[in-house]
Amino acid sequence: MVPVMIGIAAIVFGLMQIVPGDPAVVLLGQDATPEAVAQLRHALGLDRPLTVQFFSYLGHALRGDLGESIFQHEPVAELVFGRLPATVELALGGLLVALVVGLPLGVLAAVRRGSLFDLLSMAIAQLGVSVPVFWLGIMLMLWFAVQLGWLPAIGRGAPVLSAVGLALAGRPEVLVDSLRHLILPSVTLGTYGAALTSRMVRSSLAETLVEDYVRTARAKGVPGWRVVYVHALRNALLPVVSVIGLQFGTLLGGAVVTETIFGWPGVGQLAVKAISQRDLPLVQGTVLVIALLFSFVNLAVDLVYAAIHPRIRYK
Amino acid sequence: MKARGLPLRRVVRSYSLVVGGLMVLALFVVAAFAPYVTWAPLDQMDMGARLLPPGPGHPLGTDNFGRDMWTRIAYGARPSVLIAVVSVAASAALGSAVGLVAGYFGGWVDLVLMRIVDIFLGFPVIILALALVAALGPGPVHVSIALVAVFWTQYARVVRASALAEKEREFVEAARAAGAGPVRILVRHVFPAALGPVVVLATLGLGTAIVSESTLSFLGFGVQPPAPSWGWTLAYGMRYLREDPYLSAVPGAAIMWTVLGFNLLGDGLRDLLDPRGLSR
Amino acid sequence: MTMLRILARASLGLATALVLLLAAACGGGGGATGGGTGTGSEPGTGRALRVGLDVDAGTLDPRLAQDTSAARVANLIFDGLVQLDANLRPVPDLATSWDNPDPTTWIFHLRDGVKFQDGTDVTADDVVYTFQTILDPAFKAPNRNLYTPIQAVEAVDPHTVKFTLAAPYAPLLSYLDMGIVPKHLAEKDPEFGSHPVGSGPYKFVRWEKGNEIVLEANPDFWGGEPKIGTIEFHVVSDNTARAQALEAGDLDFIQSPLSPQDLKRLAGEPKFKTVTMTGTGYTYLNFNTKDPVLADARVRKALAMLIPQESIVHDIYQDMDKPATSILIPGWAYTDAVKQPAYDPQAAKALLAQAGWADHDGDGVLDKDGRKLSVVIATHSEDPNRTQAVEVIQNTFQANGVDATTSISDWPSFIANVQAGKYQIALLGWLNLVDPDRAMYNQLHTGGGSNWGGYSNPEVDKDLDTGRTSLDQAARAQAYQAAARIIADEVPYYILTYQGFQVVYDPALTGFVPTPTGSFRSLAGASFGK
Repeated sequence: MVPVMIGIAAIVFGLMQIVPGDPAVVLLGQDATPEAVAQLRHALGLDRPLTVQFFSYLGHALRGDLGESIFQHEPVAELVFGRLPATVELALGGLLVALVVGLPLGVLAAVRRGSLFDLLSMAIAQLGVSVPVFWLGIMLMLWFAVQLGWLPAIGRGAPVLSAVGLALAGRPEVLVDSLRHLILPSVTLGTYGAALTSRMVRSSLAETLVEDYVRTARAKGVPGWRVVYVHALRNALLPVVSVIGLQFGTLLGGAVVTETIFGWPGVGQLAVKAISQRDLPLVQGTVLVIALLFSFVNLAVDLVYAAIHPRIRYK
Repeated sequence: MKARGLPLRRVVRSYSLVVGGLMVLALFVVAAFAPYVTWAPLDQMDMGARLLPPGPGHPLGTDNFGRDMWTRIAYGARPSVLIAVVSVAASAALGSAVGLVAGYFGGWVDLVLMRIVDIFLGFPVIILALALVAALGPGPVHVSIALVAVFWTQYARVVRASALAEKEREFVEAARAAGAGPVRILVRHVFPAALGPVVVLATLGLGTAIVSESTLSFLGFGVQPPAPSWGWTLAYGMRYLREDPYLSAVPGAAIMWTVLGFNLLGDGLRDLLDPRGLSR
Repeated sequence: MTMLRILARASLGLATALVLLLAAACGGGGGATGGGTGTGSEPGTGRALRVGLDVDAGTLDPRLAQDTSAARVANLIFDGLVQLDANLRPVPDLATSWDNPDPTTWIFHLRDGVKFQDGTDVTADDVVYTFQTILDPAFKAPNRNLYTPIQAVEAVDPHTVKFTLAAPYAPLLSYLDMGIVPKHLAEKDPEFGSHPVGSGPYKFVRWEKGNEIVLEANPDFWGGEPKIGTIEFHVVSDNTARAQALEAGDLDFIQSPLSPQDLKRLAGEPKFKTVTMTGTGYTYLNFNTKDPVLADARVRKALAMLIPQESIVHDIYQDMDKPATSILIPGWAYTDAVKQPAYDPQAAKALLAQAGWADHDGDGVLDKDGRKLSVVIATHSEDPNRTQAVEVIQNTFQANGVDATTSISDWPSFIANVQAGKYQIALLGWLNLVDPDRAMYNQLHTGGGSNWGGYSNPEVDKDLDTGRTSLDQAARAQAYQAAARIIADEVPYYILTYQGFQVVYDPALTGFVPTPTGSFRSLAGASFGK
């Protein structure tokens, strides 16, 4: 993992060297004198040889020091980890939508293969994987926030975790507000996952339903729902889990766009803003943390996989 | 692909193939014959007729400069489709080459190449593309390069997997014994086995590429105005959401049509090339 | 506004909703209808004023203020030697009067009995310290170059400060609204900007970075205790979101930058009071006079005649900005007698023909010596009004036989190219032009620091020098008008709009006087009338 991280850091560093524009100029404004710019570049260490800059960054990063944001004068680690909960909350919201909508839809479609319900839900799923995230977000916002005014168009409420605490302390309105803010972004982000999940579950479950052990169970008189939910679904979920795990990258990529549209104060927005300001340490930091998050999620997927896969569990 | 006939009956029965194919065909026709299917001049602004809703003369209304929206959409298909096709073809070529070499030679070659793939896979997609376009500057060529950087890894992985399986096969051994060089073996004997998955991946990838391109344009990093661009129109549309929802709805629908078409086509192709698949 | 702009600015701020809701939850009601919205922990009494900011302040140390939020919030905490009134004229603040024994000497007499919020006296030493730190290059004050003509600042006695200039420098007074910081606190505290102490009408309470800043009334303010006990500044970066927060009753007060569409809607709302005025900035086209094609003033002038200014201002800016008549911004140096070339394609064609550009080969594009008349119009992607304006200009150029293309990139790339002289025509803006010197000197004087297009005219140089050094306002106005007349004729700059400045607030707020600089200072005398 470390070599991959170093590689990522090197590419980001290289890219940010090619990008035209200078953080010192952005920071000082268009009327800054060349001397002031030179002075600031020196203070930021941007006038050192590139190799020195890179290896000094790397040395610090390996010791857990991601440097300081050029624009926000705060440690990058603080900024990124401060924003991370919002992104994780959004990603989990998206995942929840994906599972809550995708699973039942897929199961029902598989059980009633060939029915009108099957046809309709798969058509919807096809639409779901085809709709561009940013357009879906805009349309949802237009309809539910602007036209109907049911949900807030933009922003995040209190963190759901702390809002739950407040709700227990007798202040449920904060939690309600948090959830209201969370709905549209989660649906936007989760639609692709829901569509994908329902398709995967359907085809995977349809496949297991014709396997020998399921037929045996049926023959032994196990009730139909038990066959589906206990015997077949568990095995059918295996490929689903790995696909969803692989799709987490798409989910995080989608999170960048979703955060942009809904003004969700997460890491994705932070990264894009950092690029637009040429805030090199912050770009580096956000990309590295997201990449790390990525590999942790892959690890988690492996664990879940093992949990629902008996053979792996007992190995 | 093995010399296995594709029974016409199966092609027709796969309605996703047919529907997707027709949608994509319609798209290509509109893009190719844009001057013949539209009647308003592409760049003629009419500030007095801004943001008109659909109506006679303007079937899809007008944009924020009073230009005919249908014309903008039809011409806008060109950069979108072109960038998607070029970037997917280049991604497939690059990824396949890397995958073949890594899978066939194995050892440290494989190790190094796959590490590079891992590095690119570790990036958040949009951020890598954004940083690349910021570095290279906007414009269709640079956007294509950015998309290649994002997408080539999938092909490398898929092709490597089948190269690994294929290189142990007898006919490959036989070719090697007969003195065929590695390039010849890779191209003639190993790659054909991976072609099916690559074609399916590429078809589905076209949809993703269209969305990515319009996302970049939407963020101000894609095609330069006044070139017609679905992403740009959509980005402006965001600002006029209350006054004129059409301005964002129409280009969004165009993007969705395109992606849906390529996805259906890709699904259909997968069924066709993988008869075991139950996803029909 | 493109998404990128939102990205660029919608940072931590949108979480503001939380705070707003907490406030609403505690106070019940809230919103435009009034009622106590202060949370229990909030100091001060009565209704708090909730102000929307577009960006968080980078610091609250006025000497280091970079962004408008920093300058405007610091302006409530600190006093300057002077303040700028609604007509941008300097009026007494800490200094009750000033005089010039000679053109390079300024003597300021300080108000008696003014105390910092920690109870210590404001003395001449604090003024000296403030300006000495600004002038020290190591301190890295962003606006240092505005003060560099100052050669020395001395305390004559505890209530008198003397500025000695290297050369006469008339604009200085307009920049002396800089907040005066307490020497004894600021000099030993590197974090002074995070918990500032000044002598102004409001005291710093707390600052949650990226989210909110809270101030409370200073009961010992020399001008009398402000009536509004608490001011909360909430950062809501997205312009539309900020407008919606006002509409939803979560904010009482917002101001530019706002989207034209939102502004149009809010202005029609009787629930809010909307004040529109000309701000202190202009949006302009910068012609690179070093470019082979644009070196010819006739070509620049002709191209200026091809800019549909009315339509851009009306249709794209929705009249939020005003069509500019010249480089002179409305104010004491303004006259409508100086006029830039007006939109006139016929005259443009004639002028281009005079310069040798005509459609000789009949391809619909003007050419000269076998070369097409090609120009690239550049701007940055963050401001959708500018990208749309560029699109309209490109279209009009094209329609009139000029082979025009656009180049739109993000701000850092764009400004890097412009500063390096790698552009033909660039659309951008200048802000905070509180004195004509600031709108013209660096931009158009030969060798000026921001004269990226390499414009040079000895006549203009002379006028700008006069404007800078003369202490007679009438003479200065005359000099700037003379320079503006030449600039309007030679078109190194074509001023597209005078940027509008809008304030939208709850009409219950009375006594507030909006100024083009966006100053909050008059909130010190404002109140919520019932």
